[in-house]
Amino acid sequence: MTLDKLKPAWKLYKLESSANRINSKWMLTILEEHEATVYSPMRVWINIGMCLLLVICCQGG
Amino acid sequence: MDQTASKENFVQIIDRYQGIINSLCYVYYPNRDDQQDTRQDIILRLWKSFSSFKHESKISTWIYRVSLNTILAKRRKEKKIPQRESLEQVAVAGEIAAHLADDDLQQLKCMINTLKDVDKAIIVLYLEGCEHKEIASILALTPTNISTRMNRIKSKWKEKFKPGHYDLR
Repeated sequence: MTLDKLKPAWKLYKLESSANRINSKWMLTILEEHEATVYSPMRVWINIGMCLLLVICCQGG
Repeated sequence: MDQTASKENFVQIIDRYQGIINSLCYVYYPNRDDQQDTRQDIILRLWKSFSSFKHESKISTWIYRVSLNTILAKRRKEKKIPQRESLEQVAVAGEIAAHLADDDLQQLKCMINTLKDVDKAIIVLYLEGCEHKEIASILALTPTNISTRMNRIKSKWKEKFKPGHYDLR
């Protein structure tokens, strides 16, 4: 299979691409930022509860 | 496994297999900022599917599958937005550069740049040592389809690049 002749060049290609490595801390930051923006049903219920409480209090009940 | 342990396990796996993500981003995006954005998208997609990964396939196969799905979907979206330079113009420029490139690495880059997105994935997976069956499974194609596409790529390259240099038959 003559495409195999490209394999040494591919190794160099991979070496060049590895110059900019992924940092573990950066990865953790991405995951934490993502979690902070993710929809949470619990948070929605807390907000609804707070809203109802405010409505009741403002009506003088 | 609790969330923190799971996250640490995930980070260790990605750290070990990051070469796959780096090389794929490098193949599809020459610009460093685009590479960084794409790596972030891939990591999030991998994290979302991590809990459902049952180790039925190799970790590398799972990473290739998710990464390539992310990249190919991103590229499809980008193609809907008009670009300043058409893809055909880029391909022609790549071919011209390939004729001028003496260095093997530069020539390989130019050769890859002349391919369509799915064909790039096929060549990368082949150069990574994947069998046709594995390539087909990663890209959700049939092994016959992979063989056909590879033959087309070889014919295209044979026609366009330095005769005798890679001796593509």
